[in-house]
Amino acid sequence: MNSINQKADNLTRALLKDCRETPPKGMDLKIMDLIQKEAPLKRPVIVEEGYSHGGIIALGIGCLLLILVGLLLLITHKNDLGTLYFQIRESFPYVLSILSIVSFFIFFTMMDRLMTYTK
Amino acid sequence: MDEQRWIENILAGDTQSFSCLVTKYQQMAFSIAFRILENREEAEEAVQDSYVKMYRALPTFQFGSKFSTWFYRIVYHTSLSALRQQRLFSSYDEATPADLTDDDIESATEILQREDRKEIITKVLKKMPKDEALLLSLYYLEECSIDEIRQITELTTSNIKVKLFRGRKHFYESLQKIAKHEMVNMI
Repeated sequence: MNSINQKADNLTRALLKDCRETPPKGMDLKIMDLIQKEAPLKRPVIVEEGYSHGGIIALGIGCLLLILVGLLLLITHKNDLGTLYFQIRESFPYVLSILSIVSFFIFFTMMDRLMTYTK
Repeated sequence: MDEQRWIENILAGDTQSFSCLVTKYQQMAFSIAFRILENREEAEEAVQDSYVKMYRALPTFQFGSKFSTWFYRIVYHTSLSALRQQRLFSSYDEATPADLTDDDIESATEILQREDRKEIITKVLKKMPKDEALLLSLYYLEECSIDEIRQITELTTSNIKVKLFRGRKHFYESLQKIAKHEMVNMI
């Protein structure tokens, strides 16, 4: 059954080969005339989506939590701020490295987007 | 990949690049319109309208889908509008016709060898119901997949398969009739 179908498929394809209807002469020129009358197209402007409402709220909560943690640290370690200073000084190079990597990432992502738009 | 470059050029304001799309797709676009309208002048008008519609809609084209399918869908709907019809396809009949016989295949194979094959096939396609002729053209001539035909015509997959099967059967029956008719004439 399948082999008959396959055979019929191949035969139909061979029979129909080159049997497209030939368009009238000059149809392409007529189409191009119509297109020339149209206004040139412009690349669609893609509106950059900003943060969603949920995203903004989450970012705000995140910032508030960071401030709270910082404040809590200061309050609880009020008496030994000197120790805290040394602790921060030890981890400072790591924090700086991470911050630099994140900044570079954001910077190059933005550059990439900008290049795509101006292309 | 060429299409993407042409479309990008057109979107950048280069209307001359549009001629590449015209050259590549005009023949099949005309075939589709002609199968539906069965009149060369009307088909030409429908193709011209389709190209203008496609040009205007080009900024909305998403490269995720196949350009030819997207464009043929425009041609199909424009031709239907010209026909003042909402649907081309008759109601769905579940019953499938009998399978092809050896005689059907034999007569068709003889026609394959003939020099006037093209004229015979064109004549047969013109005599067939237009929905079947259109499906045969899309599937066998343009090599569209069932899924692409589904996107163009909005028929269901099973409906397309049944109609293709039936169309092919009618096509072979018509070929056999021609072969028999010629044999009688010779005698």
